[in-house]
Amino acid sequence: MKTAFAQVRWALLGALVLAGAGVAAGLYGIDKHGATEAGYMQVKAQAGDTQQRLGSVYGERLEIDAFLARYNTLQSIGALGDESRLAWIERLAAIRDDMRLPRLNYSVASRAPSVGLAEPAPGLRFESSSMKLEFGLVHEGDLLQIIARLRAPPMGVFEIRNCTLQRAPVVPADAPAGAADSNASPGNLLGECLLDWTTLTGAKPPVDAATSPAAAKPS
Amino acid sequence: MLFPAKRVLAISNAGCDCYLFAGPRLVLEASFLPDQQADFTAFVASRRRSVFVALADQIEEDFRQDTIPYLRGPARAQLLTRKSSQTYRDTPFHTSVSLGRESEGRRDERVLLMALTNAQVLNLWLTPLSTAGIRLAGLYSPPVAASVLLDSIAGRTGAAPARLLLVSVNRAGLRQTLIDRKVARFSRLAAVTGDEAIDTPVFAANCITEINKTQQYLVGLRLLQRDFKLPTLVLVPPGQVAAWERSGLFSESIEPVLIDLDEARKAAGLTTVETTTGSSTTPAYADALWIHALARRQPRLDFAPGWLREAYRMWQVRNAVWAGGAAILLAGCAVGAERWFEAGNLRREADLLASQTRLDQLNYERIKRSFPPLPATPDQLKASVTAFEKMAARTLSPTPLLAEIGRVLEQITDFRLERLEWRQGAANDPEMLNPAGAGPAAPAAAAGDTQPERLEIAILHGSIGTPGMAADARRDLESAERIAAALRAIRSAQVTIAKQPVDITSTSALTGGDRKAAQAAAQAAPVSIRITRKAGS
Repeated sequence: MKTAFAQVRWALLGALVLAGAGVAAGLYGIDKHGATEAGYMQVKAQAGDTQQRLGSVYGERLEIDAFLARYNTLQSIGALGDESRLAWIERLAAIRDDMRLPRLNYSVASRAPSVGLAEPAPGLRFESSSMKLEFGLVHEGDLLQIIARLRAPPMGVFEIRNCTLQRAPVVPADAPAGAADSNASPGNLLGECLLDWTTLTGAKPPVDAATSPAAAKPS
Repeated sequence: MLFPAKRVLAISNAGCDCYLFAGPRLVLEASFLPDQQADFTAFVASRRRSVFVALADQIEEDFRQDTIPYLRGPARAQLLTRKSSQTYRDTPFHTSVSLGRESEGRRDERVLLMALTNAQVLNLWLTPLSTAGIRLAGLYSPPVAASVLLDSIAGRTGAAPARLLLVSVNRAGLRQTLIDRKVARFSRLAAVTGDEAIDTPVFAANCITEINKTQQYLVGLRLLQRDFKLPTLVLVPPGQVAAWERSGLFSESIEPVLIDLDEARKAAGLTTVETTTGSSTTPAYADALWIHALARRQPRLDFAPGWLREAYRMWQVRNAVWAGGAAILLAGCAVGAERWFEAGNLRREADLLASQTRLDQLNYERIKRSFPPLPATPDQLKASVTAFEKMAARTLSPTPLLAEIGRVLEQITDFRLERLEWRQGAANDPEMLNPAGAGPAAPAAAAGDTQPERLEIAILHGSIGTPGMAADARRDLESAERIAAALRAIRSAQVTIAKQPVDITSTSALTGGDRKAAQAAAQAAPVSIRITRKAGS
């Protein structure tokens, strides 16, 4: 007489095989689903990023429309990038000639990073060049006119740090004849101003725009 | 085999017939006489994969009502086994059924003990099955199978009454079974003697006489009340219903319902009874109907002892084990398929999403391409413009303040301006707090301001009075104060006298006299006035 176990052993073995196959099938499906789900989550994340970028690109466009014209204006007046030093000295010569100033001397220091002006955006930095003006004036109103003519038409952005105006020393009556010549006179007033010409440097075109043939050229 | 063939062994004292159950058909495969044991053993051994059911239709059976204390669970089962074994010492083929509890006294449980008492004949056919390991699902008799027979022909008879006498003409004799609420309370197999053919009026009369006797006997046993009209369902041999009705022999206490056997077979779904071995079956008898009903559904009551059903029980265990494995396989496959299907859905969704993302990306690139050429990144554009606008807002020009100073000084005749200084800067700038030679500073920005205020300062250096005039300190101080007061007319300006014409502060040394007065008269008195104004004023 066979034992009970002997009578069911093949059934047990077969059932184990079936159960194993079932478990394997289930695990395979679960594993496949897990892998697919991971891929799906990745695609979903990419879709989210793209949609966010697509959504922000409209706002970006509005900002560009709002700021590009003003930026171009700044660029055209020499506030961005390289300084217009040639324009400065030509303007100063014109002022001296037009206003018939008895004297106008200038000195411009080399450009250096601005002290006290923070970086407005990554990659951008303010740089300044100090210009010292010494001039002789006939009348105190000439100082205001010099300032006005330095500003317009614009050839950069400058800030007047200080100005000093004082009476010119009186030429003694017994001075040599040459010294009394009006052409050699420093004028009635002597003036001195210290200006800071400020430029913003470091701006770079966007990578995709840089590759475009229509990319903007500096004015 | 998952669905093995089902075979029924119809055992009687005359021999054993083996039927193959095939749905609506019954196939009589073999018939064996008691002296054909070897053939029988070989026959069942060749069909060992089948499941057998045995139907014993014998005269030797016993029904006995008894009472046992009301018990539940294993204790009741043990008590019933002991009771049956004591009652039927000569046969292992016994069973019992509960008839409910008594209404009085200890309310003991009434049980009906039933047994097939001709164990010798049964062992003749059943022992080879056990020895050969044949799967025997159960051993039944017509009384215990009566309820399934009634259910099988219910389509023809309608709902059976709670108590009735079921009568059928079997090969072994006239089988009469009293059924009370689907439980057989009594059964009798009567030999209808004589050489009359089954389709003769004499045979019918003999049968009806037996039925009447049985009714009287049941009344005598007090299983029926005397005035109870007993519903009697008779499965009449084919074509004999009219003859039985015409006989008029049924007693007044019997309410006969005569059903043609062919109609009953049809109602039970039994279409044909075939033979394969040359043995002939007798469709005139009701045996096939009993066998078919039993093959379709086995009753709960079973006469087979445990050892006889061992092979069947092990087969059930094996099936259960296989079924468990198959269930796990199916469940695993279902889970795997569901996950796979879901993964497919996810893949399709991911593909759609990826397509949408590609479209979005193309849109994004198209919009970006439509941007005007940019000299800087959008962030740099914005930051550059904003920074210069802020710078422009805080930058001061000397022109407005100097123009206003000029207008005030035109009204003053006793002040000679020698030198004018103008500067701008943050309020906390040391140069702004105390520029060289400017004297004490105006109040600085309030402490704690995060963004220092921008200030512009103009310092007027000049002299008061006319050279040659006699020195008058009081007059000079008053003049300086008057000039400062005039300058205070400038909008938002804070005006202080940085240097008085005569220093009369207690912290300074003060000298004077004729020589000093003469010097003072030779030149006008120097004075410095400081004008401070906040940006944006």
